[in-house]
Amino acid sequence: MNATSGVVHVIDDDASLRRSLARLLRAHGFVAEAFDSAGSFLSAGLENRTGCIVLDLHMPAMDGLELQEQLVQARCRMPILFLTARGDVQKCARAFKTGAFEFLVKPVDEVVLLDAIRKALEQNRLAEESHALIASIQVRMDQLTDREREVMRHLITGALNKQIGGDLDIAEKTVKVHRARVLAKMGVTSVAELVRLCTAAGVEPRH
Amino acid sequence: MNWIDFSWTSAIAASFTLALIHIQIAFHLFGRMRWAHTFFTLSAVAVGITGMIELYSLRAETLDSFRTAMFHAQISLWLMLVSLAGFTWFFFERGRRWMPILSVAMSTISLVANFVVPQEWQIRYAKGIETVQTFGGAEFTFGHLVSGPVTLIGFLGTVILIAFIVDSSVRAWRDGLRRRAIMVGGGIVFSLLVSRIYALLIEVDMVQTPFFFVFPYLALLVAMGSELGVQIFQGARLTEVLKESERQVALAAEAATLGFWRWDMRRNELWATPGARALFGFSSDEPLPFPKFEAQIHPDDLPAVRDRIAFSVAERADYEAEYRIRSGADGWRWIAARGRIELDEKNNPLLMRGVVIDMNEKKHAQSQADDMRRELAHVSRASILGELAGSLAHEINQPLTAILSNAQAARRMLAGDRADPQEIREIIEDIIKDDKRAGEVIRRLRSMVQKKEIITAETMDLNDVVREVMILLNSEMLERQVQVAMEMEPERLMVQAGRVEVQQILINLVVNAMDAMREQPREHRRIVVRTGPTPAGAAVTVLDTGPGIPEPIRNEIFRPFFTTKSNGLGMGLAVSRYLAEAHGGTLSACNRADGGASFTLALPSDGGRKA
Repeated sequence: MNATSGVVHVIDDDASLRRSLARLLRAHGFVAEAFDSAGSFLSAGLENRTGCIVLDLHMPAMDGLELQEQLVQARCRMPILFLTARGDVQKCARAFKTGAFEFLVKPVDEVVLLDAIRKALEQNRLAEESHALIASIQVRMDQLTDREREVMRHLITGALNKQIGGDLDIAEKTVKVHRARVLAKMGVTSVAELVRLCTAAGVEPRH
Repeated sequence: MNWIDFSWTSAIAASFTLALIHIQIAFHLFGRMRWAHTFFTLSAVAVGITGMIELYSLRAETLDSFRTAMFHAQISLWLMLVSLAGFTWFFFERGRRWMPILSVAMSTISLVANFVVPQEWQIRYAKGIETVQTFGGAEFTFGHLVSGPVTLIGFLGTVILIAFIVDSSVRAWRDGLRRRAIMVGGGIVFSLLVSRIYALLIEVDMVQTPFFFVFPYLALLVAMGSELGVQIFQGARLTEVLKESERQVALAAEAATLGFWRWDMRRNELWATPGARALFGFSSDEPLPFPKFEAQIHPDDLPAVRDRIAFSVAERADYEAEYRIRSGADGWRWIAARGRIELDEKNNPLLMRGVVIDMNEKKHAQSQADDMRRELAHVSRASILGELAGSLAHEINQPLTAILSNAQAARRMLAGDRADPQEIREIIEDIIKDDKRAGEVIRRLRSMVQKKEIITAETMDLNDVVREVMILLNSEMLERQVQVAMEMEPERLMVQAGRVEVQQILINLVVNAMDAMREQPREHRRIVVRTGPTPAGAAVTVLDTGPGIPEPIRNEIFRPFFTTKSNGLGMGLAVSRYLAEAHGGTLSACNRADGGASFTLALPSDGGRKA
């Protein structure tokens, strides 16, 4: 039914609300898991899961904003949708500054809620994909020797073998060998492809 | 008719005249003065009779008739002595009681003895008589007398009487009644001494003159009478003063619309002053049977009035009641009545006497003040609810959100053809539960915001009220990140009070506690709500971990318009204390030893009714 995959984590101290939200989400084909407090979510250790978080702003002990801060610090990539019964401008602003995906006021209509959740899951999916890409590039780059990495950073500037040899004070022939190894290790056939990978991984060209 | 006849008859006439005057006065007096006048009358009669017997003896032509006179004179002399003893006793109200009693007893013995002993033993027994001429050529019969042993008893009686009078007079003198002591005490003693000594001289033939007991005694009567006259005169003045003060009381009573009444329980009839009658709308002369009075009382107040009267009669306690009576065609008037039971000798209630006062204007003012206080309590309640609006909305939004989500989930399930009847049933159960939850919050809010005409007290468990309030304030405490610990008495704590009012006080206390902890770091924001029994009922204490109440303002915090908050009205605690006291309870504040403030609301189990 729902193309988007990922778990919707519902965190609310109100049992009835928690149950009804999870029910609604499951009825629409989402996978929903409910938690009764910020603490119980944290102790489950699910920060690196795929999905999104529907978080109640007001909770005893640790409230929604504090959990958000902790998750950001833990590099959790799941988007957070805040749910609140009262429109508190200050808290809303603070939530968005810390990177909230959405801020919804209770009672929330299913159209609004489900739409927001779908968008959040889509965003998370994209984030996960780029994260996976960067991770694989990183794995390949880790196989390069220091000299090969040096040569790669010159290659992506579009420099010729001769220029690279001059800059690095090595023979043009040696540059050729390095170039072939870099392309092979990085799994590409052209310098153009290599540039794309390095841009995605954030490798700085050396001028 | 010579001067002897003339003098004696004048003295006799004077004595009887005095007797006549004083017997009439005696009839108009009460108590001690009636007795004094009665004994004075007796003295005057005794003097008159003595004079008559003396005159008879002076005119006696045979020894036998002289003896008869001497013999009967003892009766009048005895009467004289008895009446003097009685007069002195009642006139001075002082002295030793045994003295007049002993004196009268001895005189009586001598009188009785005189009748039974042989003639030679009698008092003043005449051996012979002779006719003697005195100045002015007047002739009279003179007797040669012997005094028998009985004389001695009578003499002793007289001595004791003199001693008694001297003793009483000295006491009166010491107490500042100097004129009375000299005139009456001195007068009687002097007359008695003079007559006694002179009689002695005659008895031993030292002088040959007539007996004239009547004259010193008459003088004595005049002295006594003049003193009595002074008292009568003072009495008359007192009566005048009394009348004047009665007029003033009547005036004051009229000004204060105060009426006096008396309820004769045996005849079940009322007597009332014109003021009281006017208040009740009775004419000034119609008879007032008790039911007529009851008919004027407002039907709603009558049972209470009857209760009070019955209680008063049963317990012999003072009666106190405030009630409404018919006034004009269709109006009612507030009055207050106070009364006291009077008992007969057997301690049975005989009558109730009291006052009644018009309270209408006072009541009117009081009810206006009550209206204003109720208004204030309502405004204050509404204002604190306004402050809490956000978190109260949360309390309603929470179940509404759940209802909406559940309903939409069910719709989705039914549309998607994957409806599990069991799950749908669970959803509906949840919806019903949440709807009730929201309704309950709304109902509570409504009762808090509603304006009430009167504060109605109900019997309730203080623990329940505390729990209800804490549920209502749950979101606010979450919002303010305050931790709450409930230390509830496990037993039921029954108190009698208005539920809404107690809730209002508690909300005020908890919100104040949260306000007080605003500047505290989050982990130090703790409220403890503790309930427990008190001797008169139960109490709830709200403790916070704020900075406490600064000592200089400790006594100020309950004053209206006193506030430390920038946006506060300063009415919360003032209204709370008013509400607590309206239920016979108290609201007090103190600082905790380990920092923070503590507010205690104590409520009586009987709603503050006085026993």
